[in-house]
Amino acid sequence: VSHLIAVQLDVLGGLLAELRLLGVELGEDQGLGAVTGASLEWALTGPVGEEAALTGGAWSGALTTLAARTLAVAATLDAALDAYRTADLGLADEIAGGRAGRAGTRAVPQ
Amino acid sequence: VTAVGTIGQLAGWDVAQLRGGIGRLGQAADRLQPWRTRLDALGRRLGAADCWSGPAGQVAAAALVELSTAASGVAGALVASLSDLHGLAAAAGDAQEWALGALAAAEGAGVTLDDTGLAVGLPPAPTATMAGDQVADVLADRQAGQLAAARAAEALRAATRALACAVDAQQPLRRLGVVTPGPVDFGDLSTRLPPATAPPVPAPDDAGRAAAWWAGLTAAEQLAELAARPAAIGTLDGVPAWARDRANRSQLAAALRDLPSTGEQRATAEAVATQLAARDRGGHPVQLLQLDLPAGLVAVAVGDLDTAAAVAVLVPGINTTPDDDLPGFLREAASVSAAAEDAAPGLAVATVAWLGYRTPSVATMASPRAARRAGPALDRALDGLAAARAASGPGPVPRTTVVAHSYGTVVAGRAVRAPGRLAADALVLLGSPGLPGGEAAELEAGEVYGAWSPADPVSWLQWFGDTPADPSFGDLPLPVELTEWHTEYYDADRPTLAAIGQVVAGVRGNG
Repeated sequence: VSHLIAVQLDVLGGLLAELRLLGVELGEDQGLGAVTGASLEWALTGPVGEEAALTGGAWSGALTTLAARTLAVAATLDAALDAYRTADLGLADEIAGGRAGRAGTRAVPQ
Repeated sequence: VTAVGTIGQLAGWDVAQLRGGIGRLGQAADRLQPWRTRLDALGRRLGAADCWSGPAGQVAAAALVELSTAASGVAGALVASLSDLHGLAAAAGDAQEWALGALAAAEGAGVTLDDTGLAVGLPPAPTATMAGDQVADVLADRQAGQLAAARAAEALRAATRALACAVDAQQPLRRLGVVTPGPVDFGDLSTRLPPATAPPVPAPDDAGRAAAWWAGLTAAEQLAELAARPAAIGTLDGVPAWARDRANRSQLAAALRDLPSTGEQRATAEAVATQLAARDRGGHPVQLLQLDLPAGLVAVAVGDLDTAAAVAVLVPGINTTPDDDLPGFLREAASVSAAAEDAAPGLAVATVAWLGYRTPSVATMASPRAARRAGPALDRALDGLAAARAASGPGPVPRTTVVAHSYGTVVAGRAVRAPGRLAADALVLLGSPGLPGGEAAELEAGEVYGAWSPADPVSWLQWFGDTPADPSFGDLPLPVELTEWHTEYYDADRPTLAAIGQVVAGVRGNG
């Protein structure tokens, strides 16, 4: 384990918000790709249009994959961020409990 | 029916809509590079030790590198696909044009075209019993019918090309496993990315090529290059500042570890390290843009050159050395940044303290020799800053101002004379002993400002050419005080600094 584990929770939270935004932006381009693929089929009736539509669909699929991965990474890191906060609070409770126990022990005269 | 449809279908294609759709796809592909640039910047901030250190942070940063690398692969596939889509648009346009021509010729001949493009209803060949005018009419109709069929055949050939382009346009994405509008498995896509074949580091004399080379590398390849060749990357004009900073800091750490405890290189390395550490501790971002210890060359940016909206490059005069003068020079750079931010609150400014040349001493200051070597270096450095920003995507290009002092103005003049235009919007000449580049109108910058003072003898020496002290020089004068000495143009209690800040920020106007 590393000698130093440090997390700037609020800074990380801000970066993850940016990451989510990047995923959303790419998702919008994915939607545009899907609509454009359909428009290519309308523009070119017949087999050429069908193949062009498949191409547009593949563009949309590629962008969807990237957008989905971006949002998935953001969600995973968000969960990690929450886990850090939860773990810290849990440790705080444990430490506080331990101190109370010790204080109680000392309070009992022998 | 042919494999590509009937002539009537081809004639009815909406090629304008096709071109519009392909244009929109092209715009989406264009957005992917700046998207990746933003993702990479985010990944670097997330992976920085002051944000998230430890194993989980490293894995998180690696996940973003993997995502960026996949984005590069997808971007490459989209670009390849787009090339075929442009071929599709051209072929579809040809097909439609030929089909319309075929239908027009068929109508003129009184025939129709069947589903395969053959003329139907052609009159039989003329017979010997026909009158001469009848023969001519029949021959004309047969010719028109044959013309219609020939045009239909051309239309079908063009449509076949269009079909091939449409099919080919899918192939780059199929190779990544993408064949549907829906998402595919990211892991599967990643494993299908073409193997890394990073081209070799380009020669250092072409900043545009270096910038394109760097932008063409995936995030993983960029990190590999930084690890393998920090000396080459650190000095390569055209590479983004963050990468040069990382490479040069790595070089600096190695130098501090390996250099003997005395000597000029050691002194320079320690001076640079001390300044970087102090500014890092203070939370003021600095970038080590250049570090060439054997040559005694250093450039440090105050601010972030990769995102700044306004960039100033300070070029110093004689007797300015990294080991002795870097602290003061960086203070001047910070003062210029602060003055620009005062002039335009909220503006992102980066100022480079450029010691990218060996400044002459008092004994050699009358010689243009140092400037002859330094001018092309400054020109390349400016080209590199511009090329790096241009290659990172279609975002706004920063306003760039060269602020040259004393002998530094001679260097700037030589940079003007180097091949290609000076990559600067404005040129500020402080206490100039004369420029070899000519008068203001010949200096390749849209705006030329000058500051000189009767109390500054260097500013009216005219050792190397015309100076702003010459009334016909044609510069826009910056405010000075009568008592302003040669080394006081950056002083906070003189009026020139605030005016320099306005120039850097682009709000000074023509006064």
